[in-house]
Amino acid sequence: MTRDPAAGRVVDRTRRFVGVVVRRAVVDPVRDGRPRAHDWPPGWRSVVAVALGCCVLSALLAITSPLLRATLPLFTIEAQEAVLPRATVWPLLLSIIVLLALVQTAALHAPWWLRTLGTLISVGTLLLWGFFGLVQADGLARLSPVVPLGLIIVLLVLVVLRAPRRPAWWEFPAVLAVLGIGVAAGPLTSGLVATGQALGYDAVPLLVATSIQDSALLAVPVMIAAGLSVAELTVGLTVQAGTQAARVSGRRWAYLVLGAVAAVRLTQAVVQLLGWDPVADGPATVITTLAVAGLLAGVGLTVIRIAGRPAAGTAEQLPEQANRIGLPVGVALAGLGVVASVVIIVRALGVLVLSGVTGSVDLPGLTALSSGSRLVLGVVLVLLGFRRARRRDVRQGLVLGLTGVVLVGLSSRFLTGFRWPTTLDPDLLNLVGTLAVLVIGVSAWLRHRLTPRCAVQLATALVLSALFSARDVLADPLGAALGVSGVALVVFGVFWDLLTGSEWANRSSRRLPAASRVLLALAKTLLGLLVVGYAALARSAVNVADPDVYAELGDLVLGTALVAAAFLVILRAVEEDVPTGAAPEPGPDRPGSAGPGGPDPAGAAGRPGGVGAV
Amino acid sequence: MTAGSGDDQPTPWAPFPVQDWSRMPAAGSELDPSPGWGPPTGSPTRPSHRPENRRTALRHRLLPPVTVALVLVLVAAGLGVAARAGAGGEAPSSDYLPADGAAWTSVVESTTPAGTDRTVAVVESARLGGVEATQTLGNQVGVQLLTALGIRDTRSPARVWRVTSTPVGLAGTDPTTRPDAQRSRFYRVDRGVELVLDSGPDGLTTFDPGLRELPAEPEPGDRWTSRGSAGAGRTYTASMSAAAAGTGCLQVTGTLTFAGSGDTAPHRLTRTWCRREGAVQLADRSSAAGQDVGSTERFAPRTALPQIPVTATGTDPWGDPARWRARTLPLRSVEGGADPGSLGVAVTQQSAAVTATGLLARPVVQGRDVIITTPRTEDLLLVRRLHPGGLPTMITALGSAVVVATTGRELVGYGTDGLRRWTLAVPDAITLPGLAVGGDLAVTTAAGTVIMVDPRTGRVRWRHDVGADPSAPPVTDGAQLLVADRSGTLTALAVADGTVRWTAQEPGVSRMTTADGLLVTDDASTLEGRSLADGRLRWRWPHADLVRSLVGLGGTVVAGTDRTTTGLGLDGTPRWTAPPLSTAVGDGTAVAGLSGDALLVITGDGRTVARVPVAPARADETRTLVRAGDGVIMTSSVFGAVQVIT
Repeated sequence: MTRDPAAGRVVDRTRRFVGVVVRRAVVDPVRDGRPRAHDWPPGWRSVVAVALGCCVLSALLAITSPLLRATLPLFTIEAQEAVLPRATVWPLLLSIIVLLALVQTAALHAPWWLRTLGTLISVGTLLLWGFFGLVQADGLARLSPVVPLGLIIVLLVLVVLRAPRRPAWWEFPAVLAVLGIGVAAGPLTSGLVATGQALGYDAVPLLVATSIQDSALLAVPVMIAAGLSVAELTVGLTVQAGTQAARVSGRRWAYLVLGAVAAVRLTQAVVQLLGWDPVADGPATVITTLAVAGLLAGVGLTVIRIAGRPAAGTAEQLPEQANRIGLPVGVALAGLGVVASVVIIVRALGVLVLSGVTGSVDLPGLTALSSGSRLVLGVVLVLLGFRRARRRDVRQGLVLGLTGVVLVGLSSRFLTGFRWPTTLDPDLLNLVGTLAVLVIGVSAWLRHRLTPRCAVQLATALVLSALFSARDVLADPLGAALGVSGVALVVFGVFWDLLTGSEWANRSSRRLPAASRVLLALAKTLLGLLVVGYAALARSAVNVADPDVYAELGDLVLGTALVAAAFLVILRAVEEDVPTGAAPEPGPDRPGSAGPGGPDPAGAAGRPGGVGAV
Repeated sequence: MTAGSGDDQPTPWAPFPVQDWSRMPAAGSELDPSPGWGPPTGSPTRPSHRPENRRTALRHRLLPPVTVALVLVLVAAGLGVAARAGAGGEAPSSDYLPADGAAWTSVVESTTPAGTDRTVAVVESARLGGVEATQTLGNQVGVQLLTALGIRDTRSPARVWRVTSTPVGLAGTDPTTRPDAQRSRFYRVDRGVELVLDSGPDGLTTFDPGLRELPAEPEPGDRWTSRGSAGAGRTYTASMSAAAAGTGCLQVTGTLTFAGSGDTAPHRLTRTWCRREGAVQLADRSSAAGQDVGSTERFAPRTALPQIPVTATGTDPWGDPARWRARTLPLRSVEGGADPGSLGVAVTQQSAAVTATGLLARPVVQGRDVIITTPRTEDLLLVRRLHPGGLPTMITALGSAVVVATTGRELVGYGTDGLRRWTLAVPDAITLPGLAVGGDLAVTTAAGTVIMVDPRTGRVRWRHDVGADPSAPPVTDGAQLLVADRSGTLTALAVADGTVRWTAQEPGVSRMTTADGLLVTDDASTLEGRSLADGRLRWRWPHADLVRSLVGLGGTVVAGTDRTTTGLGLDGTPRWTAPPLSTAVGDGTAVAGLSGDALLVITGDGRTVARVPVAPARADETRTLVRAGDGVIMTSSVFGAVQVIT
């Protein structure tokens, strides 16, 4: 059977096109961002393997939670109104111990404050488990304080002796053994299990579940950062596809592609407009969204102007920049939530003390405080964006500034004193973006400046817009199948963050070696997956930290800002008629050719940690 | 400078510093950075490669993974041991006992000189911890049981099998006429099967030590004796033997003799124990005045039980709330004909249910029972003790039906007479409150399955899968059932057949209510009013505080937040404000809710018509209001006492 040469060429080109796009949008970020066995002490791979195994175990618990809940005996934690399979408590507990051992081992060679924090957490765990139930101890149980106190001494000696030395693989099993013995010895010596059995409750599972729920707040930043993953991947793939396609722009089919994509996006928009809800999308929502759209454009263009550098070539690096700020923004959002709660508690205590004097006192609501604190964070991020721009870092300036704008938009009700139901509607924002693309396209066409490259770039923006419109399906394709919303998104997001956002863990410094960093990166991942696994298994309607909610918040804040930044950069490139890609690949139609950036064998020019760093 | 190495891989080198060897082109490639000559000899930074034999190299390579894996396995094993540390196991004889939550029908034939009496009972099996078994007993009887079990502290390994028989047709469905009608037998099962307490309408007998029914490892041909006290001024002596009685069964026969006060005639005991079924036949015969008397109890085929009266739930308005007063009622129990004894059990907070006749049903934390109590002037009297098996997660009452969901993924239906009527397997746990819709019960499982059940029979009228776990208790307007799930979808299902009427996107719904053609939802920052007819959004009302209570009152929606309570019109316009209500229930015309240490009753037009002081709450106490006839009952998370406000 003979092969049609023309068809063969098309197949080859398509294959190479897809290969290049996937490599640059997926493989390269993973290669650059994953933890690497670099500057690790001998044997460190075993420690990493155990941590990864626990991560996979927690992820599997989350993914298979419907099956586990349907088949395994359940038990309830009355105070938390959670019901979960009893047998899953033990893998969760083992993962908790490994998590604590990772943090403690990393802290051994960390700066003093991190070492102190890690040691305090370990000592606290030993005290909690070792002394739980001692109130009723008698007989041999009277000796039980000896065990946790002895283990604490061993741990402190380990910390003091090992801190000034280089990391060694055996530190992890030593810490794991200390913590494992401490956790196991508590129930053994205190009669906790026997007491629980006599009184009719599962003491150890209760303690495990409570521990996870109590530490869930620490996982909130991880979940917020995980929510960015889908947007990151979508923008990466789309921009890469557009960049590669633009390189073969001397063809008329570029206009056909633009027409087809515009037709699809317009159809989407018409469907969206047919479902227009005059209440949900009422004047308050429209005004808010238009204001946010204006702010996004204004802040974005200001950042580009301040930076004084062309933004067009930065689209490819935007996902990476968003990835970098994902966790810090998550920490800030979670931290502000804690501050808001503390403010309310302090004021409530004040009211209790002063109520006899002052009578009724108007307490601020949690919603109001959260909204207000987000507004402050938004403004701070915008200012930070300008600051980065002043340092000519247009990519991070854009991502920071636009994230700040989205946060300001989400806090709009605070500005109205909660009188108007103002809402930032991402779909409406997307429509505005589409409209901008069409206006720019028509304008360019009328001015005879709609080159094939511009057409491909406009098509890229429209594809991005279309994908953003379908983000719910993209974000949670397995939600319906699993019967628990958001699990797949968060699990994927947490792993994606580990694989693409751990570049910091590959560097070594005098105060924090790579060996410690990689354990911290894995501990962060394991904590996120533990909470996701627990939430999926417990399916409680009253959850302390619902991973889905925080992942959606991350998607809304960081994902919307990333898409807006990519949009802005692409439209800027259209205006300037320059390519969006900084380092083109050898094109499918020009094998072996090099782009303006020259050969880039690692495909990582400009990325920290790449060959350029040699 | 040397490049870092992972494990025992050969260290590459280059004449220039390299941060990351993994990023360098592979050895032998065109860009191989290797200069072709070796590193300078005697380099202080390059580790010397001493020749080592293969065995040493293998040991160095394997030592870290093997050690880490070994420690991990040991920790896992240690946790497994710790999980069972000190746990009192049951004796092998427990193989002859039915599972926790098992239920069956038994027929009891009692022969007295006056004649033969035949009664049918529904029996429930409970496998409990020693202290746990005392939780729903009156304090005095509880102490007797603890003494008989030899329990001196909360770490006793004693295990108990409790068998509770509820007579059929004794007093219709009104248990208040015979609060002590149930018979409970407590067996110690961690060292054989020993009867320690027999409490019923005929009295209460404590065996200390227990009357051994089965030895720890029963075999055909075994013989055993037991003796001890059998209550005040009485002792007992028993002698028994076992013989094979078909596959998996043992025939136990023997004599039981009492000494001291009362009946001293020898009792001829016969039991047939079958594996995992318990004593399928028990006979206790003796002679009185030369006549054979005694009782025989045996398994019976499922007997038709009287129908549970369930009527469509009505909502008669409260009478005159201004005259309401709060009374704190202690929980008491009647055991074996004794005077009511105080009872201080911890009661779960998730749900409490009031039946049509004003009985209050609540799940108990320890003991895994559901207790049915009747509010009296001076106390709250325990009248029935139910044990559905597993841990109760939800309880609902419709008419005289009490339906309990358990961690065993079951819905169990009872009448207020304490008789178990039906058991229905469900796909997942049910933690959200059930909802009475007409004469049926709607429940939502954590897997997102909505099930409409006939509470009389347990028959499933329809079921529908909404695809995700529910985020708020369902509500109804009588024709539709509204379900919000955590994927952000609101689904309106026809009450009649479960077909989907409409769906709408509404993420984060935590509370819902209906009011005159309107569905009102709260997502923690906005109240939204939707048309019940088509789900279209009518209005939105932003709020700065968390909504704690949401009640629909015909033409008004009452939303209580931390700082204030607002009455909204059906167009979403705030009409009036009132003091904050943390938890509230409505009767269709007014809402009764807790505001500090008082219960406020506010009408639909915003007038506060009653302010009833209630007992101050403890800091760790959570309170729940349940509507009960012409008043409300306030349950507490702390102990069994309740406040009745009528």
